[in-house]
Amino acid sequence: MKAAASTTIDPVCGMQVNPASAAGHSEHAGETFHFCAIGCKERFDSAPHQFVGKEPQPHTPLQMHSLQGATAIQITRAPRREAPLAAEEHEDDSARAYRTMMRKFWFGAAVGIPLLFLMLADFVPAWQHALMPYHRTIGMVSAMVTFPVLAWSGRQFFESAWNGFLNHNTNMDTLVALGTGAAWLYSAFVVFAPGLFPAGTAGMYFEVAVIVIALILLGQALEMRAKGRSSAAIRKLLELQAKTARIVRDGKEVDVPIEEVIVGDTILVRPGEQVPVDGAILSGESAIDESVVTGESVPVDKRPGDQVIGSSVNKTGAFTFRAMKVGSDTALARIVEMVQQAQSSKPPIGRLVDLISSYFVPAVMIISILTFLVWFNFGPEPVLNHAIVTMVSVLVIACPCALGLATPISLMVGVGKAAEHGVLIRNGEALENASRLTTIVLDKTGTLTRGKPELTEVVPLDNLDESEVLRLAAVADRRSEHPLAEAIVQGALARGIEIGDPEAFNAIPGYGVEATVEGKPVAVGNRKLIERVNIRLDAIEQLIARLADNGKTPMFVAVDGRLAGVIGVADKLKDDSIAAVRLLREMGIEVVMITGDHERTARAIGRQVGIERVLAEVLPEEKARQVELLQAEGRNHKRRRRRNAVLVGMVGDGINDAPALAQADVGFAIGTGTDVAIEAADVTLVGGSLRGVVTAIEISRATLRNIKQNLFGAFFYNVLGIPIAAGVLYPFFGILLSPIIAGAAMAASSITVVTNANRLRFFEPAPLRVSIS
Amino acid sequence: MNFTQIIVSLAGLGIIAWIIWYFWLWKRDEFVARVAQDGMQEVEVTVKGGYQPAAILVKAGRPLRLNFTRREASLCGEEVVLPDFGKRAHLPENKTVSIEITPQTPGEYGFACGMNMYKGKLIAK
Repeated sequence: MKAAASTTIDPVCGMQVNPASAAGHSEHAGETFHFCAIGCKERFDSAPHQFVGKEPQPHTPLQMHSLQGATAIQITRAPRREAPLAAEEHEDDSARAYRTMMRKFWFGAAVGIPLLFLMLADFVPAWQHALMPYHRTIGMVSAMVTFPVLAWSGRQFFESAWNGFLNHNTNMDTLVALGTGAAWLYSAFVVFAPGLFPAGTAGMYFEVAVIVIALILLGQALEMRAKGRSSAAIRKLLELQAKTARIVRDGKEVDVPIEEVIVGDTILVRPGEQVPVDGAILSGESAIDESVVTGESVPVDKRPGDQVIGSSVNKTGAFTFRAMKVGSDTALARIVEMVQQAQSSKPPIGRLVDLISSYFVPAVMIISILTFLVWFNFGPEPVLNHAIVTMVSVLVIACPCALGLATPISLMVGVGKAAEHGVLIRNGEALENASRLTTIVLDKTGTLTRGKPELTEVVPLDNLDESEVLRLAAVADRRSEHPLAEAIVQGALARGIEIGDPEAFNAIPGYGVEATVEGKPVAVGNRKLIERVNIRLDAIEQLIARLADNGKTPMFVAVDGRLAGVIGVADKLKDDSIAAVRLLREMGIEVVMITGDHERTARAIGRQVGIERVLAEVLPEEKARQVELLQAEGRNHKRRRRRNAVLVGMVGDGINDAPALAQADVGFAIGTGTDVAIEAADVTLVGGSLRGVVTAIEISRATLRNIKQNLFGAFFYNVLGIPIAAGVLYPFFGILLSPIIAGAAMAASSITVVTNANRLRFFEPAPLRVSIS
Repeated sequence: MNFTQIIVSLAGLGIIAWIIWYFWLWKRDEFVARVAQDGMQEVEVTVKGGYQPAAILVKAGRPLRLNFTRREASLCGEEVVLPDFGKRAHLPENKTVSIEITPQTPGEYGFACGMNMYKGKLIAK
């Protein structure tokens, strides 16, 4: 939807709407309003006065679209301004909530700390004696000053616990509310109805209730801040979006907001500016820093026809390009969507935790009652005091939030970190599998190699010289679209050879070309073509073998019915393939190469790159089967336990790789490849380099390790904490946990988990030692 | 054991039985999604100490809009996660946030808060 003079503002969400194409209209106070969506209209109709006469507010559903990956219906109707707003608003909300929480904490601390000192004074005999006459007064004052803390600072816990209770639900607030509520009520009874209690049981725990609430609030506030940091990766991406685009329209340059750019617009980008949307260069050349999307920091040279990615930064020259993907279709928007989807998925390791945490709170309530009963029936005097203290401690120490946070928080940081390095992990399961990979299959063309054959050598065999053989071959091949022919033409051009047009030209699929060049018949092609024109290759078999051993494909050139020369064409290795393969092997992963090439050529390339196991002459449709066979190898290995099962990863880029990518336990798609491959993959390497595979596995391993540490910490904490709080140490050592310590321990466990997950943010992939041999 | 201890113990065991019944054995009512003007199934879900409704009957293969409104200050419900659909949403207090999904095949799809304490489910038929 373009903003023109005829558009109006949707009063609900503030988006520009064209009345002609609006999703709905409403009359209010003699004025007609137009809406971008039915949802807006419904909201307006229900309470029009809310929206008339004030600044429109972007509504939350729109933010959701950008953040959660919109459905097709939403994309067509939703303008595209929402993403940055969503990030900002969320930030404001969090900051506000954080400040409120800290104020509540300080209030609780201010009341609790003096009371704590008063309680400690009870342990000093002289002071205890001096305070004795005022005991009841102190109790009454304590009750009065602590009540506001429970009512204001602790309100959220009680409210949430009550709401949960009405829904037959429990949550961590239930435990906090029960614990602190029990402590306070018991103390209040002691103060106001002392007659009810046997001598010696009249302890007061007002300060316990208040300090526990303060500590938990502090824990939550710190946790919230840390969580905010962990989703920073996404926010960073969203902030990187350009806000405006300079469109060339009717020969004039106009600055328009980015959401008004439509497919087909011509956009001008000057040096230092951001490329606003995805598209292809029309005119001009430049080096573009695409690190935002690919993680690769070296700028890439771009010429007319080359693709540019929205949010990348133009470095050197000015250029114009045609917008091809806008809004939620851009590479950046899709990355954000994928990352967010992955962050909200669950790795299999998290499922056990779910099961446990759903039974956890009621179980803790039951344990606390049992604790109370044991102390009440079998404990030392004063029984009621001990029973209450231990019950409260159990309730307070057992917050399962560390357990609940352990998996998602690490996953969130890990997936975000991977995205920063140009590795998009589809979900938690992919991440977990990637961390356990034992074998990785690399497709040769486009993955290990550049995927674009290049001319490497020319061997003249007749009386013609090298450049003449190349020139004739290039002219003959000029009209062919075959990649090998293209390599010859490009190679000739690179050597400064001028290429004319052939007088006649005939491409023979599967063989090569036959052409007439300057009156002479020229044939360029493979062995089958040359043998078809009755030229024997016996004399040069050695040369052919040498080329194959070096990973080169021989192309034969015949002029006037005689063999004039052989041209070697090879698909060169990518610069970092060797280093990446070495790193993979160092990580203990078996590397396998799969290719349709002849055994000999394939082995040669395998040797160059350091891969011993080569699956050659594999037809495209057999790739998936080969991956399956590799997977089966592990399963047949009976001694291997499930934990050590063979997990096979597959890296590929083409449409023909898609079935193999889907078959593999983890499919890695090279991001420069086809959409089909990316669709079938679990991990997308935006940068297009094999380094991404290494990074993906490294990050997955680091994240899984982190999750395990977190889970261990959280389980260990609860398994240890609950019995101690219940007083199991008392019969042996006389140790009884104060509920205050329990509260501090609980807060500490959540903070530990979140902090540990945040350590992942400092993860740096191992550097590639690039060596080109 | 004296009389008081017996009474207290019986009361305690009674409370335990009640906790088991009230929190674990309670069957939730199922709520049927209505069909909105634009043909989508739509449900308003209030987040307050849990999800109301917490069990939602929907038709499989038809798009569904869940409008979540968090009506409490507690941070428990500030995030809602639908793991089967890869969706996660931040729920600001007292604002309605819509999530659109299509449960393609019949079955049960859970949704939960960020810490997995509040739970709800979609029953697609």
